[in-house]
Amino acid sequence: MSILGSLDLNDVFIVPFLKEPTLSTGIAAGAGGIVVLGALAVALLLTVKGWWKPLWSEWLTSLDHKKIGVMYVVLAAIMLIRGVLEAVVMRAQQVSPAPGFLSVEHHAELFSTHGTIMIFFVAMPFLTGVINVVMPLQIGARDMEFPFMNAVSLWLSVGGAALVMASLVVGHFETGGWTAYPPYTGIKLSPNEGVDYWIWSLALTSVGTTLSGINFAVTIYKQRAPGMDLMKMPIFAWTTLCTAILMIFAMMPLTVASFMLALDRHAGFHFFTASNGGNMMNFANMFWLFGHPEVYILILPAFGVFSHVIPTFSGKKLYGYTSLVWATIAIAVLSFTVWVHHFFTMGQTANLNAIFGIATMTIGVPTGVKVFNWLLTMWRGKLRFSTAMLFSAGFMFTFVIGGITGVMLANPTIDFATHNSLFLVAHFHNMLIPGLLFGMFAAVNYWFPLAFGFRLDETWGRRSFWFWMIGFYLAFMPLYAIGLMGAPRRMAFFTDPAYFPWLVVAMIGALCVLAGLTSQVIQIWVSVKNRESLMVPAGDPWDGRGLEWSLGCPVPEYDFTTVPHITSREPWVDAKAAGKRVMDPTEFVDIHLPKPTGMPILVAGVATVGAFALIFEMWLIAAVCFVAMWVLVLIRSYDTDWEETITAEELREGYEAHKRLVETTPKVSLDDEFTSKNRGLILEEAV
Amino acid sequence: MSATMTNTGAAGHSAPHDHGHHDKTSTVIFGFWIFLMSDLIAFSLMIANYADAEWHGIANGPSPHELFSLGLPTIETMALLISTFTFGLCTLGMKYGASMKRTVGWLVLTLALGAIFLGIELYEFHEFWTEGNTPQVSGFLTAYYSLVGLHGLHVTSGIIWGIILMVQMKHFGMNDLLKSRLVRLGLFWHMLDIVWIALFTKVYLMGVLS
Amino acid sequence: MSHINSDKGMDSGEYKHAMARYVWGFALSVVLTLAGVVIAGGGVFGASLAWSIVGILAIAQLVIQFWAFMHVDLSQDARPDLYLVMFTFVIIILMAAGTVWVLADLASRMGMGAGGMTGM
Repeated sequence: MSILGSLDLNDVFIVPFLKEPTLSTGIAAGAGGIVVLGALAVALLLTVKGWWKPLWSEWLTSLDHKKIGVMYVVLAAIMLIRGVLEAVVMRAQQVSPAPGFLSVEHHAELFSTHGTIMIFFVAMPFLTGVINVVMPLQIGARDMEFPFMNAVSLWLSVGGAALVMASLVVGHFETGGWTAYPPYTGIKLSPNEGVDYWIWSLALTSVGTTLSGINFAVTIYKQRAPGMDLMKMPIFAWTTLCTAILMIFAMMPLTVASFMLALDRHAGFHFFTASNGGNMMNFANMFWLFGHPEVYILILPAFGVFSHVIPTFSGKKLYGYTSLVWATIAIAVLSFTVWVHHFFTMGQTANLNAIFGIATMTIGVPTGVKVFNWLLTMWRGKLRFSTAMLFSAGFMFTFVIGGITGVMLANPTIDFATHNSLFLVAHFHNMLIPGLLFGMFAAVNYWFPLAFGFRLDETWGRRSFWFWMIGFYLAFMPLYAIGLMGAPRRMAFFTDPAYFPWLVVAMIGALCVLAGLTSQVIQIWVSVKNRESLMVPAGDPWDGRGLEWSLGCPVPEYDFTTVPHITSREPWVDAKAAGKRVMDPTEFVDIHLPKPTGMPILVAGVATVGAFALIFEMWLIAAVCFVAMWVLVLIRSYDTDWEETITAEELREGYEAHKRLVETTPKVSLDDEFTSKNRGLILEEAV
Repeated sequence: MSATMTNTGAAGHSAPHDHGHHDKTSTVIFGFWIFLMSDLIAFSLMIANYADAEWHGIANGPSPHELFSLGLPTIETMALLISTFTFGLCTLGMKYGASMKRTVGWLVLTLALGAIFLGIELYEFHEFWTEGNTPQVSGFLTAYYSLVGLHGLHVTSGIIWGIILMVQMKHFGMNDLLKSRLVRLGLFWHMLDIVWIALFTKVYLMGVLS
Repeated sequence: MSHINSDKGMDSGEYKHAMARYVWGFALSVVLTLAGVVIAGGGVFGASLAWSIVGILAIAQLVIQFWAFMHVDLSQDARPDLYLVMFTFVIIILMAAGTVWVLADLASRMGMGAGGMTGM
């Protein structure tokens, strides 16, 4: 075998199209072309503008938690665009006359990449990014506890995403869905490199996620501001802590299962084979040992976001802090006890199913508690419907519907009838679109000024909300209906004419969602263009309640000039009530921040090349990369000069400057919140 | 004194913390603890898979009862057990100011015992392999090689890590950073012996009983 | 084991106390290991009784090694480690025992392999 392993000319994206030009191969070639041209265009832009150097020194090598967070969100945004476009193509496929314009394999690749991307390369980086930006600011920390490891996590996730993008250009992705159950994904039935793309892209990102989990947990445990005991911690920090614990313990089953699958495929092992004593049911079992906690990894941070957005825009304290904390903990623990409900139909006894069905319904209770907390927070509040608040309200409305269908599916007898139908597809989109995406959209709209110093455009923000909201209902309510009529998921085409009108509505919904996404791109564009009038240098543009709003916008590199002493759950509200515009300083002392380093991106880059080599069976190159990666880590272990100092004097100056700025910023009434009069901080009732 | 390590942390805290002045060393070690727990999950899943395969995955291969005897595995186990003890003596002495020579001595002994453990394991693999009992034969053998092999890979990386630390001690002398690394390797090594208790019991002791 | 330095020397009582813990842990581990080997290999007890005994011996040794070598105990200092280990074992029991349970249940309904268990 050559050093290039199983790679050959036919794997290049354009070749199948040239050999056999059909619409299906054309779309595949077009997608590959977009990736290649897109990469070239970005490279060209960076070269022409001379941005390579600032990009490298300011961003790619940064260990600053805020910048790492922003880069995570950028990754999620890019992958979200691909994921939504794939969804639109699949919807179009199903409304075109059977057998549609895509080959069956191509359609299968699409739903597999759509699922894999949306979970691992949209949802995970999105929430990890938001946590990175916000959580340290909320607990009074200056960075994550392990900033270097934080950057390694980021670049491993980027590497995984790069592999999924590479599958558009070189070779194919797998066709077994995002769950990739064997024996279909074994070497006999899936002989090409597709499953290996899935295995190794997930391996990279799940290692990154486990490390992130450790980082978040230790940061919250060790870095809280003095006086902030656990029950004074902001809810978002609580949901981050629970998510971190789930990341630490739940990623392993996926890693183990996917490595086993790799050994089955390439070493002739018998973990999941259909013969020689393999047991493919254990794959489903382990996959969902990961997969169910994963659902709560996705949803808990969004719960945290809503717990800050809703009180802020209702002008009220969060209702029932303690019950929300306990509900979060309960959800996190219960999430480890329900995984069997993903495979009720695999053949276990009715009693076993019943136990897991009951456990599943139990989770509805703490979740319900939360919904009532948010509702009662809004009750009699003075509501201001910003984009963030609209997404939060839209979430509550929609999520409850998804929750109800979830409780239906938790009943094994109903699940037998709806298993693997579009009803299920409608259900989990109904949970994850409001429960994850809406939460993250709210977070971006709400916390954007912390990272960039200006607000996002409200008009386009609200438009994006309405497109997403209406698009969601149009796209997924029909799937509930035809799911109950018997339409199975993952079908390349349907021949039953009764489904057709519903599929047309779903198609319109998908276009609507695309319009929502486009509005968001426009929103960013418009906001950047008008950033002067959207600037909020004094910070706190929404009359916020958390510690993060006591800082100027954008937040300085060192976050806090002095770390405040915390005596209550809402120290910033108390300070404002006492007529203060900045938190009282404690003592100014020299601090140390991590120096930028190119090592994380290098380590992850080598790991990604190694993973690519594994996919195409280039064993020698893979081995070299593996060794090189550890050599790089070893080199880093010799580097003991990894910090730079910011002196107490600089911090004092920063504090004084911020104080002067705040004191000279004119007062603005809440009614002018979304106008250019809002320069931050001084939002007070109209006189 | 631990003062030299204190606040060399990347995100050095300026204000006194709730629980007194927290130092970076203990934080790093706690982070490493969490990593070990995550690793423990991997082992426990492999053991669960082994338990299933040993029960339902024999296929046309040998059963554990036919495959295993207790002689060599017991010697192997003793080697690893002694090594976890000698590593304990190594880190204990280091904490109470033992000379570097003494610390390195215990570490060398530990790694040598680890190498003996590995040697016996590889010898056993070799014996099974040449009898035709390769991992490709049955689900049970697949589970056996990968469970025991995963542990063996951990021991191997522990040995490499230990050698690297000895080289670094030569370069840097025994500073607090290296002490912290040595303590983490120690935790890793102790954890591997704890995992081996479960493996030895499940695979070999319960194997010959089946 | 979160302290890497002590201001006491190797002739202090503290050192001897700590050393005693290692020695005890080691001695008990050796005894428990050999007892397990003798019981599994000796054929004195019936297979299922021997199976249970070696299982209990292993759990005992596990606890002893966590205590002796990894310094997990009830002291205030070790509290975070203790909680972490306890939580981990809850998850391990859920995952590993859950896996064995689910797979055995499935096997019982599919006529797989040696067990030949009857379903409910």
